[in-house]
Amino acid sequence: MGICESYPIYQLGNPQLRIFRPTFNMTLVRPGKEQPPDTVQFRISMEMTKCDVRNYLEKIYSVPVGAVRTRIQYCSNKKRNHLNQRVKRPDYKVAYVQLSKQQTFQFPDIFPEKGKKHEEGSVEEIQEKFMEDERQRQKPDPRRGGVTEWFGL
Amino acid sequence: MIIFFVSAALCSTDFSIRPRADGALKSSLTCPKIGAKQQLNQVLHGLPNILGRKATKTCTSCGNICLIYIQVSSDIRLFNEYVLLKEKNMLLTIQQESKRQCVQMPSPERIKKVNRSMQRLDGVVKEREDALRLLQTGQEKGRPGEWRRNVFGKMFWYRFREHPVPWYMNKIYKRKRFYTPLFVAPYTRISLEKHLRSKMRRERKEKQNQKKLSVMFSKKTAQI
Repeated sequence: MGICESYPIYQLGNPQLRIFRPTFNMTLVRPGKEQPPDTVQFRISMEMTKCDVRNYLEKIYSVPVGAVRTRIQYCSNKKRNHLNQRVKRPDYKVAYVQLSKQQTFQFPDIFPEKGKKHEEGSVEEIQEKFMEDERQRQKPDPRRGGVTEWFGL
Repeated sequence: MIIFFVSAALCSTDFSIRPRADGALKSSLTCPKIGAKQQLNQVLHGLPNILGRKATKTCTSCGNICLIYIQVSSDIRLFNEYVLLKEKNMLLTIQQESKRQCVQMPSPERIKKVNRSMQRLDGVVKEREDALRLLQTGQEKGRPGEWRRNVFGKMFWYRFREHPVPWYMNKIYKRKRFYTPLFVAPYTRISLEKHLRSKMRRERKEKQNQKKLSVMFSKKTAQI
């Protein structure tokens, strides 16, 4: 069903529709709010249903799925461009998939912060040191306990 | 609308895309999206042993992915499609996460490459389906259609759709009017005249150009 997107109509007694090459993509996202440990959050196409999500994960990724809940996120149509036309941010559907067989999933840290270390004697190191000293000088006196310089003699 | 996605295991071959080793399976369960890359590696390296068939790796313009040429054509579609699909999912995940963390996504051109690969695959599949259909039934087009006139007098290729009721019971279809009313005849005549006029102008211009060139580069003064 990759090339033509209109599916054949279903009437009572027709065989079950099967798709060999789905055009849908599922994007794993980090949950904005804290989710239970067995819940995975996806952004999916608006046309997908809970059954589609379940079958997709089970057949293509062989992930055991317990429950799927979906919701549609409406994105704003309020912003305007330089021609004063309203610009729509596209809506998307979110699926919360609960894994079965007591599995857990924690969204991994894909971009861990690396501590930058410049070589000794290089220009960047001297610059860094200078910036650090500047910042130290700009900081207020810690003995004043957060009170600004305005108050006082 | 309920759709069942058919896994590769249901096909005639016993070659399955799902990773065999437990290590890779565990990684896919604990981390389904990052596991895709590990699965990919598993599959790519484990490929020559599957079914005892020869599999050669060919590098395409798609940087990370090698389109593996397998001798049986029934494998090629499903294998490559799921690999590409999984790769695309992974790239979309990384893109979204990089937006979330306000970090630049590493090598974003991979998405375009994957899309192009998928389009090419679709093209190959379509070609094969067309050839098969021509050989088996003699039909040129997969979807039936016919030439029709719309209300404005223009001819267009109308592609048939599936309906649960016949056309004379379909109110929306009857509203579409695939005929030209009589009062549109002057406009069709005018547009035909315009088309003929432009055609004549083009031909006349071409003839004049040829005449000018033949005066500049005449046959009498031609040198071999």
